[in-house]
Amino acid sequence: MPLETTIICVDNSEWTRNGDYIPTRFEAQHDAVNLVTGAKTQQNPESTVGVLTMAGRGVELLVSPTDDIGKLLSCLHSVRMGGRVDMAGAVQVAQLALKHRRNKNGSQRVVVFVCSPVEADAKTLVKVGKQLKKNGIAVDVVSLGEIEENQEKLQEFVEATNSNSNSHLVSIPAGFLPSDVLVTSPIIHGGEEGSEGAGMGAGAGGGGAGFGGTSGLGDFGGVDAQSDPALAMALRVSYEEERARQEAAAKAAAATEGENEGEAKGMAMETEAGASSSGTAAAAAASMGGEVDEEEEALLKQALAMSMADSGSSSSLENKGKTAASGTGSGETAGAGQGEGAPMDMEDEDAAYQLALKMSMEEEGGGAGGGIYGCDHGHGSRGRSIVGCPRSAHIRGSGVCDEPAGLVGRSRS
Amino acid sequence: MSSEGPPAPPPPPSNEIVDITDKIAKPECFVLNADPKYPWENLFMGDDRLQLRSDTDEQLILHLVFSEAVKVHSLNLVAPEMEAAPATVKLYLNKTSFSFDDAENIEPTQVLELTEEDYKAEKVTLLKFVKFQRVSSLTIFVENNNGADYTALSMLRLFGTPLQGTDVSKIQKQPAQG
Repeated sequence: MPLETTIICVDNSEWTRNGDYIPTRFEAQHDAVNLVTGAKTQQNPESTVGVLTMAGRGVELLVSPTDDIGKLLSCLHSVRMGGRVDMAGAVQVAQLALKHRRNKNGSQRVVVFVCSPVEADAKTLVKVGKQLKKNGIAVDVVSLGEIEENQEKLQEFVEATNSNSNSHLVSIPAGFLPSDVLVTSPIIHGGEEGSEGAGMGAGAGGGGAGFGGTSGLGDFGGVDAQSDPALAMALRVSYEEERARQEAAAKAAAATEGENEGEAKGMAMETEAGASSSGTAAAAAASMGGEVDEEEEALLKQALAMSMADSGSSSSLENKGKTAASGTGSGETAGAGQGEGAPMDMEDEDAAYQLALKMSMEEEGGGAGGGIYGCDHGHGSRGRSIVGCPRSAHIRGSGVCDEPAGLVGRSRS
Repeated sequence: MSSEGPPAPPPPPSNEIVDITDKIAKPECFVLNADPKYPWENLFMGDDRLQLRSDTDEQLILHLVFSEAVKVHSLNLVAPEMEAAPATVKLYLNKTSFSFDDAENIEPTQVLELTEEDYKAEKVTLLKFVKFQRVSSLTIFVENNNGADYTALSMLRLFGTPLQGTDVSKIQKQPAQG
């Protein structure tokens, strides 16, 4: 990594008392700041980091750029929350602090944490952003809490500053641990590796895809795409080959199945049992069935009704035996590796049909590879794409996970 | 002002005017508002296609640090296209840090109004020699150009005299020989 001087702008406004991040926005942010300082100072022995607070009694530079990690870690402990954020002013103070840095060669960067509504209008921010760009300063913005409200302004700000894709916006939805998301974002490991991560993560959005890729492969023995990209790539390639092979097999199986009505009848029942814990799978079964035959459709509808009843009464666990036989894993369903790996030992066409259904679901449900890296709660790609993805569209879809704690636990594992 | 200074080509006997472009300590120099695709190192390549270009607007700051103090006598700028050639250029001496805010607030050492004549490869632009007697860093601020969206330069040469006895590398060499 090249030599870099970084100023971190910390949000210490009243909004950071909010407990939507664990334990509070401020503490979560503090944790993330420590991560960034550590990463930046280790990337190059001469890299320096400074910290300033944006709210309180005005913008205050806590530590001018230094490589003394102790100073950096301790500076935030005495910070008091209060007041409102003056983002444009803070960024300009950061610019001034960067101007008087010790080591004049090397790039300059401002990392802004935003946890409160941005009051400055977009025009001012764009102006400041252009000024930063002119002075050769890159900007990374981490948006917490008031994501949707700030999205547009921050996006414009980052775009105005961006030169050679050196500036990034990372939004972290409530419930996630900011440092967990940041660790795989381009803010920590630089823009170049971010694009590599995107290639591996098979999807849109550099940081988000990188994150998805890491956690997805993590299920196969905890391989970190960042620490060993070659191994991760190899794993991924073999993984995709296997997937393609299974897909082909499933297609063939589905074709033979389509000819045989009687068999399909039994099939529908099996399908229902297998998908009992996820109503969506059953719905797909219904849609698939519709293509085949009317009579079959009626059967499938019946199956769907049964499955709804099943999941409604949460008796899915009782079906566990059947479920396992059809290769879908336990009541939790459709986690990353489980559904993919299990069909290896499928024995009959039933299982193949089951797989074909799942495949088609995944294709519908979220673009290439979406389903693979979905969270454990069966809402597939929707849950994945928000993580660290800078695109507003993805974040908007983020009603997401009813069980954030479970997700956090998973991303750590 | 420059009445003491002799005409450009015949230098004063003690201080010969030479090309001091190689006295620039490149690792310490920086440029602001440069297009990443057209870095400032291109200025010393001697090829018209290799340029330094501004990025967001036409302004440009080129901060040059010398490895030893020098007297700067004249400079030569070459621009590939007249439209994008700098018109008003301000020179600042011995600034440790410099940004576009400073350009507004600090009085320049000299302001150059460059015309098409000045951009010919052989033509040198004379500076107020008396003001450039001990230069450790020279900041060139391009305030505007002749109308293009960006400013482009393809070559920069500086002429002057190294201040004698300050060349650190030579001092180190002598004990090694003896």
